[in-house]
Parts: sequence; C-alpha cells; structure tokens
Amino acid sequence: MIKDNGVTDVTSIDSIITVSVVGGVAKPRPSKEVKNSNLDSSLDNKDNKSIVDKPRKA
Amino acid sequence: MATTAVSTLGKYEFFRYGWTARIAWVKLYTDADVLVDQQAMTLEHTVGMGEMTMAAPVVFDVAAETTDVSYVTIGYTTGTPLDIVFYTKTLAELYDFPTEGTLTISSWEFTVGGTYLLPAGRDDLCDNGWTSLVTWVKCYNSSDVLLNSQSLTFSASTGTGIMSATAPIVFEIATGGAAYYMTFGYTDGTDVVLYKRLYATTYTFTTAGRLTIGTWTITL
Repeated sequence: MIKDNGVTDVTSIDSIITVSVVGGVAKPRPSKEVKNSNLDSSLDNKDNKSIVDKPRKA
Repeated sequence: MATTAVSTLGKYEFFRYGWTARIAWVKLYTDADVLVDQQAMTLEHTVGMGEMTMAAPVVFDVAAETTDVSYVTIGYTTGTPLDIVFYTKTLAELYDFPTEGTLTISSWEFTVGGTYLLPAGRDDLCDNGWTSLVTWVKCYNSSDVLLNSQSLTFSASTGTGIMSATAPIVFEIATGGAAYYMTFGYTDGTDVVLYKRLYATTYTFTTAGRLTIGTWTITL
C-alpha cells in the first residue's frame, strides 16, 4: 500500500476595481499602508479620477 | 483600517455556494470603519473564464465633510451574524469630500485562480461552490487511462474557510498501474471534471495494491 498522507492545494481570488469620484478629493495613503497595498493609480481626466487596483503578480 | 482580503466566511461561501448567487450588497467605509453608504450589487460570471464582474456600476452617495473614504466590502445579510462579509477591497487612495458627492465603482473584476482548476471547476466555484456537487474522484496514469474511481465528498468549514475531503481516499490499483494524477467532479448526464491534481511523484504498483490519500484540503 502506498499512502500519500496529505494533499494541500491553494486557490485564489484577485480583483481589479475602477473607481471614479465627483466632489471628492483623492489623497495618498500614509506610506506604511502604500508599502503593502500593491496598488497602482492613474488619472483619466481633470475632474474625475479613475483608480485601478491591480492584483499582485505571481 | 481594513486590508484587502477574503474573509473566513467568504472562503466558506466560495467553496460551499459560489459567490454569484450570494452576494447582495456592497458597502463603502471610511478608514475609521464608519459606513458611508450601501448599495445593491450583483456579480455575474463569465462562463469558462473563472471571472466574475459587477452586473452594473455602483454609485455611492457621500455626505459633505466625509473624510478618509477608504474601502469597500461585499456580502449579504442573513440571520446570525447579520452581515456576512465576503471580501474587503482597499481603494488605492483615500478620498475627502468637503461637499456632498458620489463615488462610483465603474468596474470590478474578480479572477479565480489555482494550479489545478479546470474551466468547469472555475465555473462552479463562481456560481455553485463545490461541496454540494463533487461525488467522485478518479485516478489515472500518465496516458489518461483510468486506474480506479472512488466516491468523494468535501465539506467546508465556517471556522477556517478550508475545504477538506470528509474521509481518506483509497484507490485500488491493479498490477502494473502507475498513478500519475487524480480528478474530481460529478456526473450530470456526462462527467463534469472540476479539478485535475498531479501527484508529487508517480506511484508505480509492481503488484496490486492501494493508494491512499490520507487528507485533501483546498484553501483560498
């Protein structure tokens, strides 16, 4: 008899969110949060901001 | 302050039911965990892709003088605990609203991943979960010849969010069999294969014997 005592596998969920605001003002997070957040951001026009959170790359 | 993560109950719901049928709302919070606004939300699933997206943009109303708008959560409301939070997503930046305004989520894409997931497995993880579906596990050699099939059930824990086989799997392997991988799934007219797991090594049987998988856990 052969026994494989333990099989442990991992699945994952990543997400990318795009956000825009009207009437709000964006400000960077304190550096200690940004360090671990793995987030990128970009601006799409003058009045509204579009933020894209990219998943962590393997 | 919240961090981006799947909650333990979100993991449980993922394996037990899938997310698309369960998630009902999205809530917006400040960095101090104060609720800003709540809106209905529907997740849709792209068949074969393992991706879930919002059915429509979500627009939050934000009151004047709200500061440090920070993160969103998704979930549904039930008995106890009242709110089941599946997932928390921290926004890239904080937002201050000196005047009344709106914050819109124009798109939100979720991607399900895993080394051994097959397309049907991704689909059912999004829409149905696995624990109520899986009924069998099959062992194959490297030439895709079936060596043995056994019944299999998984259960998911609300305490850990981990999905585990409810009993050891014991394959009966004939002489000369060389176990290379196993699959699990269910039969709905035809076999629906959700998962293909390669063994760490090929188990070769010079005489007839048994291959036992003592435990099998899948985490998110």
